[in-house]
Amino acid sequence: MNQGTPVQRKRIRWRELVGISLSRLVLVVVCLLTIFPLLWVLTSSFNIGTSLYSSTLIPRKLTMAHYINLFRKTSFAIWMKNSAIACIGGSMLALSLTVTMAYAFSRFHFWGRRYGLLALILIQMLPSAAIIVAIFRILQALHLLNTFLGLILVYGGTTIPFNAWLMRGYFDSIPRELEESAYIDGATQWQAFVRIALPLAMPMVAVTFMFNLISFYNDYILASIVLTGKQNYTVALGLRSFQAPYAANWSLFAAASILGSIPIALIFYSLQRFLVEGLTKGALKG
Amino acid sequence: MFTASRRRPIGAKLYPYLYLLPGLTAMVVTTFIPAVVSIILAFTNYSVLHLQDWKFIGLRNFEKIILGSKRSEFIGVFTWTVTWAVLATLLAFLTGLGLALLLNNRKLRERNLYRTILILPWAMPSTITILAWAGLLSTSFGPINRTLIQLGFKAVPWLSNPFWAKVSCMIVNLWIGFPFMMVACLGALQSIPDELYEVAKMDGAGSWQLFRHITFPLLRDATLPLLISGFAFQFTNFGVIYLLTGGGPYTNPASLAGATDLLATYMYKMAFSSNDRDYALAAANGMLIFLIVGSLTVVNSWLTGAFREVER
Repeated sequence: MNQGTPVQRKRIRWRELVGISLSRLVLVVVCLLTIFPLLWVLTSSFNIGTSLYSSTLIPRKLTMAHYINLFRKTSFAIWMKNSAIACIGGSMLALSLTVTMAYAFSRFHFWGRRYGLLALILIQMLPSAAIIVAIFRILQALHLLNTFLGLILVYGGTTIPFNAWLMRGYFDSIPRELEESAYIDGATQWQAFVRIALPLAMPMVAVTFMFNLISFYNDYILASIVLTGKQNYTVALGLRSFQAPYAANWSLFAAASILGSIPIALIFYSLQRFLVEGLTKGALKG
Repeated sequence: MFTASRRRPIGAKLYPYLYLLPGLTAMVVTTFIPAVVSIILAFTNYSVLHLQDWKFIGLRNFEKIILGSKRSEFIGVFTWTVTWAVLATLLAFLTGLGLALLLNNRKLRERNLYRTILILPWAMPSTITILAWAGLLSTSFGPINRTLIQLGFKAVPWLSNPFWAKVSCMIVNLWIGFPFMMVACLGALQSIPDELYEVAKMDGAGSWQLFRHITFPLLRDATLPLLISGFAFQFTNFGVIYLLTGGGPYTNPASLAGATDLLATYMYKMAFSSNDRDYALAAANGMLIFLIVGSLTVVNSWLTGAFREVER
């Protein structure tokens, strides 16, 4: 809209410039506040000295000692391995239990479909805190306490509604005509699902897998009641065990936080577009 | 729906249920049975003192929580949980919205850089960042207090004073939660068609009027479900409180609940770290949490149109 006299246009441009500079200022300050804590942890992990008190934002002298000690003096490598087992196992279980379910909800008409979907929404919001006591008691009775199998079962089972809802939406977006033409060629329902719909849904399967991986990695409450033995600690439980004499173990903790965060941050940023879409789409009105 | 499905053999009616079977079985084991067990437990006296000789005691657990000996503890925790859920959701939402409005400006060439930095807290595993915050906020050695002292301020008892502990939890929770709200708001803003603004500008609307009559109403409709699900999430938040303060500091040594305990951490402690390990009382608490969150979910699903989607 380039109407108005040159003087008016200049005034508008000047006002825009002030507005943009102010936005920039606010954004830069917020960015600094956001990365300040992370930066402090990062530099602590390379700084000489081990305690919280000796940590500084700008390291006085760089060292890799804390990273080396992490593997020499703590069970960090075991915690990482444990987290990997629980997260990958749980995600694979959750997926294998839900792809067919999501497909059925997307493609078939059957008695109970509507109420099933409504039940999924409700159960999805059920806070794990509400049933941890019962989960603890049941795993105890099954002798699955302090086993990865127990934790994987809990992870895989409790995320079904969320996974099913997410993947059903993706199956809905795959045109039915592809399967219908397969039927004309004589394919059975199962063949149409395995050979046509499932390969097309693979991107969503991968995203859902990563999604679960991140949320299981972040879990503290379930892991803490299922895994009680120290040798079975996940990263979350292990890092908490540094907390007691926090000030003394700070540098080790910092190094462990950095190494423990890298895999998750890498997954998050590489899949950012899909993850963000998947999460916000459910929460926003389309 | 399928043209082919009309020619299905008899018995094919059962076919969809085969697809549901693995997931349903797992849900029965990990969700339905625990839910039933929780409900049953809530009406018993099952605890570390009564592991073998437990019996049904009717509504006595609920009576204890709502009217009896746990009443003041419960009301304190409940009030703080509601306050926390409202404030935490609003703070994260308003911060996210403000940043989204700033970022939603095409003339800001480097806005992707800001966005990448600002979603860092979301990309990091939150259990780890919360634990890191606990160190940063440490009263005597923490970098934040040392920085404050260097700048000439007094040290703040971040985690040891009841009021400041609440503030600390809010700050950390905001740091973790605003990126999601920001990205969601940015998505909502970008879905508003540019033509609306063009037309309004041609009619001579100023930037405030544009915001008041276009951005705000459209954003409000799109983000209301976000606020409700945010509230439900914060209502059952566990990690931030448990890993940052452990529910403390404690003003009353006889009380199980600390100054920052939410319902979720309170019942966790009741079952797994108190002296009497009152599993039954914790289960009753869990049922109360579920009733509140469950009704919120129904409202939210209705608002987001999830029910309508199901009707199709």
